[in-house]
Amino acid sequence: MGSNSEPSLLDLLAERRLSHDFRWASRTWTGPPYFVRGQMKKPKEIILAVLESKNVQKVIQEVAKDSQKDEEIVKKQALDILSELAHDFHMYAIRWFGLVLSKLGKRLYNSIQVNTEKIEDVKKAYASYPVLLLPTHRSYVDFLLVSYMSFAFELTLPIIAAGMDFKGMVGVGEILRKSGAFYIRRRFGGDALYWALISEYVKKAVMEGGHPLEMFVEGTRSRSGKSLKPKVGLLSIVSELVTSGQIPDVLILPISMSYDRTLEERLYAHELLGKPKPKESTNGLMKALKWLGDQSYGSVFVNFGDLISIRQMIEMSSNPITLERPKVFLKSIEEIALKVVLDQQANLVVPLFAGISLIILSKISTRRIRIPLQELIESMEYLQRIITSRNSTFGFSLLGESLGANIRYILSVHSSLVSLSENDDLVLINFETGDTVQYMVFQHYANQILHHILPFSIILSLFTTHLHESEDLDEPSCPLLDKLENSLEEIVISPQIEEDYVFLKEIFQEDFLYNVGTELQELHWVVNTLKSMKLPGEELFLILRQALKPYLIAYWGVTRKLLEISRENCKNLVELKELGKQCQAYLQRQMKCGLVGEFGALSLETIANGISSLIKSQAVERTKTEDGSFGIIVRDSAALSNISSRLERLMGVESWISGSNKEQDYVNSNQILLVSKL
Amino acid sequence: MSIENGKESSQSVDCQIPKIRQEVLKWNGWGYKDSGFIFRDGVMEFTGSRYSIGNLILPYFSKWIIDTLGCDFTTKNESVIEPRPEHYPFSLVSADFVLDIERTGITHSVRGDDRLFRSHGHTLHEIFDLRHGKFSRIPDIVVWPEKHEDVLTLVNLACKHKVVIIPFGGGTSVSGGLCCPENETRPIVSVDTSQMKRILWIDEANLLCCAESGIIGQDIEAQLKAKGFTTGHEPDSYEFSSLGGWVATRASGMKKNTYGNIEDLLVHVKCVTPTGVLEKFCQVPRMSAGPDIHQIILGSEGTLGIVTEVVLKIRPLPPCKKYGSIVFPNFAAGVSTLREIAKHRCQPSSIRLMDNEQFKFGHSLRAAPGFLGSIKDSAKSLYLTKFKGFDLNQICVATLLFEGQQDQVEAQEQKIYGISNQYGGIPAGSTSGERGYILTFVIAYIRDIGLDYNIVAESFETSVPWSNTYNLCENVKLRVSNECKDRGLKHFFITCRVTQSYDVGSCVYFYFAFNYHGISNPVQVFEEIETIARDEIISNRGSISHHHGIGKIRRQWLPKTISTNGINTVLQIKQALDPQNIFANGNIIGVTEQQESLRIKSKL
Repeated sequence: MGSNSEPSLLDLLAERRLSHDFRWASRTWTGPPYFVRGQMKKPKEIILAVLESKNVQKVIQEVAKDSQKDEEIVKKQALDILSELAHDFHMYAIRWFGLVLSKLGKRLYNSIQVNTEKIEDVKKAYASYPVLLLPTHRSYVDFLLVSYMSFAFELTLPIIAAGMDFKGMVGVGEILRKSGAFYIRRRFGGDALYWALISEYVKKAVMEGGHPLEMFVEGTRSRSGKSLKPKVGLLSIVSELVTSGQIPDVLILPISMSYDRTLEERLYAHELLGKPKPKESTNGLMKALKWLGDQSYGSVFVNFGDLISIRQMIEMSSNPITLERPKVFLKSIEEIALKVVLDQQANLVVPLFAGISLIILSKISTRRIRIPLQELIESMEYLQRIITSRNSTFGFSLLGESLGANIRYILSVHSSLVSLSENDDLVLINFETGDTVQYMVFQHYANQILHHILPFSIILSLFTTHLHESEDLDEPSCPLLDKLENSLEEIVISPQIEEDYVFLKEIFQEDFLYNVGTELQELHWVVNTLKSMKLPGEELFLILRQALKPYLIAYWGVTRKLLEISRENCKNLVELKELGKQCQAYLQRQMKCGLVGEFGALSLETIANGISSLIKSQAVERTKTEDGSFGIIVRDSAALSNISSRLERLMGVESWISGSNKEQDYVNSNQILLVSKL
Repeated sequence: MSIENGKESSQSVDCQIPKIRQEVLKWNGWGYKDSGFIFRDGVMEFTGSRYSIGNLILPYFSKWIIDTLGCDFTTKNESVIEPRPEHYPFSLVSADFVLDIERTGITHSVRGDDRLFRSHGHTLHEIFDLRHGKFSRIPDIVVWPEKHEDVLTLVNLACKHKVVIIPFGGGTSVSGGLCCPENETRPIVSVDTSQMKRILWIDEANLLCCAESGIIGQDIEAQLKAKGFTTGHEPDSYEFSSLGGWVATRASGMKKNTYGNIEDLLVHVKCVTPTGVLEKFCQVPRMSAGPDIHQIILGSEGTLGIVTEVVLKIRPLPPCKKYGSIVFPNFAAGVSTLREIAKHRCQPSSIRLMDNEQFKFGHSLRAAPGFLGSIKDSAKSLYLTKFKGFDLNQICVATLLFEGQQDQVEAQEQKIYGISNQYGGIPAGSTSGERGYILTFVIAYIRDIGLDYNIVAESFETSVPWSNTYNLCENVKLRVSNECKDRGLKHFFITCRVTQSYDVGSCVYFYFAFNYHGISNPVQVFEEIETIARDEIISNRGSISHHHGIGKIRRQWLPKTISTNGINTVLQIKQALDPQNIFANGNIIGVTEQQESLRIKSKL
């Protein structure tokens, strides 16, 4: 099994290793026919057309009137915004990138494996309707790669909606602009002029520019390695073209890209723990490139999803949408966006190190930092069976070689995190107690397999909890596992298990996206799959169960901190970011006195997701503070405390190293329960 | 000719189409037997001398067909020969009924070829079936009334004998309107109005003329012209279509900007229904007298009764008639120009904008040029491409027809060329303009040669607000193209032109054709795509039809078009005028739906 059996895989670099890069980059290049409405407009002509469009003209007049400025001044302002915004695509920039990336790619990567199965579909789509390329976003490399692939496969080059951070990089900002990047400010909600310009620009570019539009539906690079909740702004602008009848359809191509090793692994770990991300600068980039050049980064895996027709999605949507009903319109766009992200996720090739990290994290949490290589390979075989059951595969950097050989290779790629003992039979984990950054790097990788593992993890945790409670056992050890193994055959999914399963899926939906309403279907599928596979041994059992832990703990920490705040602070309004930090500090304190060191729980992203989830459950509410930032206020402390104790119950006793602090906590939570009941 | 009540009465019966139509018209295709495209000695030509491209060799057109539609001229797909008398379905009409008809002295026929000729219009489906010898339900008898009173007699007899009447005028329907409902068990009588072909009187004082409904366009125009008048009503089918048919389908004429559409021209109409004659008792410019009953007859598509006599406005013949054309850099510029012209309300008699594909197609329909001609052609395109920077794959052309006083025409020309100049349009002379209009009549003949070589084709049309005109054109073409590709069709052609300009919007006309090589059910595929095209039209805020009507093939979109309440109103009118459903051609709403709806109503 594994991607090595895939016949349609093509290694872009293999070809580059055979012929001259310069000749390749400067070759005669003809893209396939790409949709264009009317006469194709050059970048400059698009800017003019945007300025002259009725919509923009109207907004310019309104803004001029409201701000009592001369219309010409506002117009100048609009032109400035457009100049800051617009791409200036030139083929020579692409050729230059083609050359540089070929050189760099060959140094950094072992292979760039692209599944070419869908290329013909993509070419056909390009000739039919405007196409949106929606790749996953895990690294800066992503958008370079999409353009590089397009150049290699002779697909029309995309224009790319990029964040402003690149623009500031001297030289780089401009060359990216020449490669088709256009720059969008992160926040422009209230700015009518900016919104009118960006929306008109995107529409004109899509309809008359003659390039596919690439954008990142997750909005930003996923630091955690998980799929992020999609943003709908740009997608809704493009969908308006369909709903307003300017074009019969726009097609979406989800693209899934995964990396054996993420360039930004360490940077991400710092950011997730709350250390500010350094500003992008050309100098920094050069330094990084130099340093990168000496490292090995394994392979990159690219998979194209099935094309999604926006028209069909809208027609299928239970809510017939019109622009006159903006709320309903937004709902439909959210459905489309979620489908895209779930498709992306389903098509991702799972990097081997994701599985390895999952195994490693379970060792760390039981304070072990070495694993017999053979045991690792066996555990990986089991994980491989799980992801195969989910129609996914591990990425094999060494095509055609065994899982074991590939694992050895990947261990060498990650030499800063793991190493092999001298006689090659032990994997040594480079981790010292309390090294949260290192832990977070492992978590970044483990997260990339988690969407496959989570359902299994939840089920096993629930079975354990329920068996544990019914048998009144103290220790969840081998006898319990035996019991579970025996009973799996005749397992009855009790209503309580169903209820808990739905509860966990719902509460974690900010971290783990899914189609709401499919929980029980999934639950039964997981149980059947577990029955059909051999039940894992003790080690694997722990590995699977551990996967859920950091999230359970983080969410539990959020509820506890919020309860604490609502108790102590009568106004109890805390600024959102500040609250995140306080929750993190609370968890850190707990970890110092008894809570297991699942440092993944310290991720500010997960904590923020936990807060969002509680907002959704209406236990807490998001309100605007006086200075315009957002704050959190506890609305229903009884509900909150209920959630808190459910999570605590599912965390199980083994989350505590010594009992004393736990007791303390129980006292607290019982007090709260009492208070809220009163 | 006699003078009666100050009106000039005419008895002229010059008629271009004989009572036995198949003597001069094709039984299985469009138009005159002696006219049509043929492929001979490796090149296309047009036969007969009725049209200006007649007897000309068309080398560019042959090439265009091969390039665009991948036509293989080596394998011809001949139509079946005209059926032999014994092959026609048996006539269901009873001896009693025939006896009653004979007593009235109204001529009739139960001959198969007469009945078959009146069993169809000209949709692709109908013609394709004819060419393959397929006909399931045809009228059981054809009758030829010669005056209003004959029609009264016939409708009474139909009620008495419980037979169905399907009125037949010029037979040019493209909506399935003439098809006999397959599940109709009653005998079907085709009432052919062609012998009601007189102009009854001309009223010069009020500029009116009264004619019987069977008169066809070219006859009424020829007769009026002799007296210095015109109705100005010129639908593309006007060589064959009849006055009654125009009223019954809400026809639109090319020169409606000057003369108006049929509803603007109509001053009075008599319609014989099973419950009596529906008419007004005055001929006034307008009146406030409750809902306008003319509006019930207009567009009734033969479901309520038979139009027998019509009073139309007439105009003196214009002293000056002039063609013109404008080349635009692209279609968008052309549409903007038309919109601006409509805003100024300075439309000439006709202004039509062809898209790039149609421009190229029209350009191919020309004879092999002489030496000077080809120099002129290349000089023209050189000027456009090199000097003006036009892209030959983007340019499109508007054709213009001006009618009126010399000075009016000149002023209008100036204004229109001025407006088009703002959008980059360049006047391109009168010859191209004139060619455009002449070709209108021969385009209808192309489908027959296409069917000979595995190509199916059809036109469809719509009306749409200005704000959606451009997008509708582009979107329908794009959608149709992509649907063709999705079905594996390699060679297809979709093109449009904006044919009418109104205050509110425009009329858009599409031609769609594809090569069905390798496809077993071309008509079904065609109809599938045409349905998708109509859905696309409607989602682009276009209408169900501008002038072709509903017939049977567009019934499905009517509830969305006129609301359920609207449908019920139409059904109630039907119930009031034709309670026995004598006029059961099933157009507009459909027999079964009608019955079902009425049945439910009566239960309530």
